[in-house]
Amino acid sequence: MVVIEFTKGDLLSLVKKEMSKQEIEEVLFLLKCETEWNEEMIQCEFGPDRQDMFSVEGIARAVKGYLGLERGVPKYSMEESKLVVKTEEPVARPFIACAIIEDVNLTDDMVKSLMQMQEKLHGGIGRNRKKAAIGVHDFDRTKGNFLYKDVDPEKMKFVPLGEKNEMFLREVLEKHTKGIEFKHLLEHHKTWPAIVDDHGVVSFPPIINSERTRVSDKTKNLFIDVTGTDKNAVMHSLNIIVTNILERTGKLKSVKVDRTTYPDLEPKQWTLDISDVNKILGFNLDEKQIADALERMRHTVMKFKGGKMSISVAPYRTDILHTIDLIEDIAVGYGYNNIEPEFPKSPEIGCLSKLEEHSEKVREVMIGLDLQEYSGFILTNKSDLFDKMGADKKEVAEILNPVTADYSICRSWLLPSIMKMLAANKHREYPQKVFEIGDCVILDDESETMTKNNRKLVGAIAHDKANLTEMKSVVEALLTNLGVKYKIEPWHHKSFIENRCGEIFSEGRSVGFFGEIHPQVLENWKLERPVIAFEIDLDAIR
Amino acid sequence: MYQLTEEGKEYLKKGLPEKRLLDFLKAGDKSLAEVNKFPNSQIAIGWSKKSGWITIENGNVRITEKGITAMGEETLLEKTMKDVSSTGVSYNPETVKILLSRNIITERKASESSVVTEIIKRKGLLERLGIVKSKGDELPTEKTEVSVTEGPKPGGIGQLTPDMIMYGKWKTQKFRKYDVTTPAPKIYPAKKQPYVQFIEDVRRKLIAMGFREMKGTFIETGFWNCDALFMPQDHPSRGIHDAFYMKHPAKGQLPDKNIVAKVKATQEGGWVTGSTGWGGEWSEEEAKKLMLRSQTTAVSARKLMEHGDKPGMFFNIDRVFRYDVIDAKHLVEFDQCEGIIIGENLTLRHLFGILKEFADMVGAKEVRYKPAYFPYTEPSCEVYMKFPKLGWVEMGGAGMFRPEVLRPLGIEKSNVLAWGFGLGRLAMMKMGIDDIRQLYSDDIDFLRNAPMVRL
Repeated sequence: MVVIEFTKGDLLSLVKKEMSKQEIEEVLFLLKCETEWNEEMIQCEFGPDRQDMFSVEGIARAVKGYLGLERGVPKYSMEESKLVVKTEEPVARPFIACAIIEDVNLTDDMVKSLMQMQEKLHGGIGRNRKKAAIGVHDFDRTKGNFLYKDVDPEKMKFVPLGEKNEMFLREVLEKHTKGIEFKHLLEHHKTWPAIVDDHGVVSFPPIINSERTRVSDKTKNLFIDVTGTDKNAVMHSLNIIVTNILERTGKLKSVKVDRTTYPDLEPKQWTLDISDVNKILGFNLDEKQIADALERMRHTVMKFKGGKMSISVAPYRTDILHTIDLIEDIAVGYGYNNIEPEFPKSPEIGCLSKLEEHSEKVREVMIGLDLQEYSGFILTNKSDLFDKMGADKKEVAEILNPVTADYSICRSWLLPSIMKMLAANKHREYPQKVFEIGDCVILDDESETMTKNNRKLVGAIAHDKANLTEMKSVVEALLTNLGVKYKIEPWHHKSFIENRCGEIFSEGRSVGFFGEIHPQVLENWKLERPVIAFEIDLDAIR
Repeated sequence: MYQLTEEGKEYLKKGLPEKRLLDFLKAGDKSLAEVNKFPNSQIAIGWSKKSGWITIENGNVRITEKGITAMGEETLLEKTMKDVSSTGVSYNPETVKILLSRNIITERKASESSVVTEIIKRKGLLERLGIVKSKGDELPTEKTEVSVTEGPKPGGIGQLTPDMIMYGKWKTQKFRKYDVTTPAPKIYPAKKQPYVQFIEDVRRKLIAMGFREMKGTFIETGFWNCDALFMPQDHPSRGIHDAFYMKHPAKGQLPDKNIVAKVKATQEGGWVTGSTGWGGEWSEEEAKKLMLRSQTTAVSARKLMEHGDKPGMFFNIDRVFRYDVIDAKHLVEFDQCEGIIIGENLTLRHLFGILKEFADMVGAKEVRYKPAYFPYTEPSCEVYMKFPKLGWVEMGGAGMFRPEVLRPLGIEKSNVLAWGFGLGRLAMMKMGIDDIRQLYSDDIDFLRNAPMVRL
């Protein structure tokens, strides 16, 4: 989620309407946004789709539409500037798009919003500056036409924003905080991109601008560059930032990049079938209602013909990928909470999965045998799973990027889980009788995922006189009551005392084991009472 | 009869150590070292932790919501202390037990006390026999025989025996009066883990609505966890700080070539779905990467492919994994509940209808639908439910699967409604707990004493 912060006063001055806190909250809620208030400060939480609302100007534009103060796609007038940017399509970031906004009034609110928008767009559509990165400059401090080209990092130097001395690009990447942060985007290339004018470097994208073109409170005209590895992301970022600034201040001038004029603010045309709309919504809206909803969402309805409508979509709406997105906007514009819910008819009779049905039965018998149920975590570590159990290490499913070493592998058996639980309760009242029904992950070459889930049951009893006989009674009572035919044979397992461990067979295959836990294992878990335990593969006795 | 000890008298005057600690913490967090300098610090820390008034993390002591509430209230312990101080008795045997164990009160000497307390002294014996104490005036004089009475004794019958019944001996004797208010020994029933029991209840409700349960595996390929759900391959939630990838085994296999080709075409340019797609090049290698599933939606996607373009209702309640640091609000693994409904004439109204039904199921008074975004559904919504105590709470997300998800999986005619709930939040609300870790608590006392959870 992305959080956008602004003041109530700023929003209202952009919307040009007095609204109470409650009214603001309500309209933002209906525009996909959750709000938190800190006195006059509003924090809006957005999903990643509406990047055009990643600044207060964009939010105000949407609010005005929703309230019916302004409708349809906003009109943007644009004059041609004389500026030409020649591009040599630098290998690391071949795409560039630019614009100039003149006569801007850079208030504090504007500057804060601009910086926030830049940062959020970098994180969102820019994919951490990889696909697109935005630079904003004082246009009056540049000279002549621009060239976007590959430069030699050892030879080209400039004063980066916030610095006093000239640095070579190589130095910027190695020493400057922004250089270090985004090093990975350039370091594997021999030459790096730079925008240069008659005075030298204007910008070293995607790392940092030059100090020379720094935007200050005296800045009147802005030059905006967007560079990146993805043409759509570059164009969309420019469209969003330019239209959002224009919502507040300035006059737009286009910039030619070679022969192409940017920004391209031509609305996109979509055709929508009215019957498709009603098939999704589940009730019939007429043409007028649909048009009203769309215009409140700031789309312009061009014409209706033969049950179809032609719709203009604003150049900043980068989230419209399919007519289904417009249908959602119709529902949002109409108001989700105005739609009458209807419970769908069930085509079938519901049922449990065989696995859970089986587990419920096992659970019932275990509780009847006076064991308390416990439920633990799937993720664990090799020390708990093998070392403390005195067991041989086996191949298990292992995480590449664990948050902590404690949770770095998937459990392959359950006994360690219940031992850990007993260890956490050594100061609690005994006897302690517990069981867990849970899933383990088993490696499986035959499966698409190279693994499979395996449901198991573990039980353990701890008190001063716990012994093999007691465990065997429980195991036999369980199997008998589940209707499982079984055979028990002596077994050797390092977690159990020698000659006090049995293996359980059913229909010729091993399905589990039980015994008295080895005192060394108890010592490993810092347990001071005898523990008896069993584990059964529930998939194997289904 | 009880009386305050010297320690008890001091506490009555100055306040219980744990209460004073709360006062000390009121101004803000303190380090463990600072708190240790506090008078009776060990007692204060021990009891306020046990009462859930403070948390200690990384050597930092912090007051909890519960602690703040306790600060303004007279606790049961304090009330009992006052009662004992003024009247020498209390009607709260549990609290008396605690005060006795803390040496805040003692029993009065035998010569000053009634016979009742004499009996309480031999608590162990009484508890072993499961006998509650008798009223003083009807007790026999030979105190040592009180609880081992078999058959008629002065003062009447104690334990009823088979002998008395068979030979009618009880007919000529009185029964001694037992005091039903005396504490009985505590026993614990073996029972389901509370969260498991809650989940079983939810399952039952879903089945009653007509849902059939589906199952999947914890480890999934990127293909099913993300690609088939129309998540672009550079989507932030696929990054290594949001999802767990597997080191071993690192890669899995892709399904049928035909489906892979359709998903690829849809991701890159929309294929025949009418979508623009995400652009760029879609990588099979990325899709083969194995990960711990971050949502159960992968199970739904597989089910759609298997079930095909005919009506159906399915649900799944199971574990998912998220890259997070564990605290009172976050776990690395937790349980999610989700479902799908497949059918030709399903609409947004039906989606809201299902959500409304869930709200009724969990006892919410009102429902609101907030437009929302999920990569795989459009239209999408979040559902907010209003509860008497907590007010509006976001309970889950829902939507209609996008054509970009459905067409490649072979769903041509049907619409598919999908919904998901964070079960944990609901369970915590119903269990009255505020720390998500307690849902999977390893504390046997918590499990022994947790009441049954009701939906």
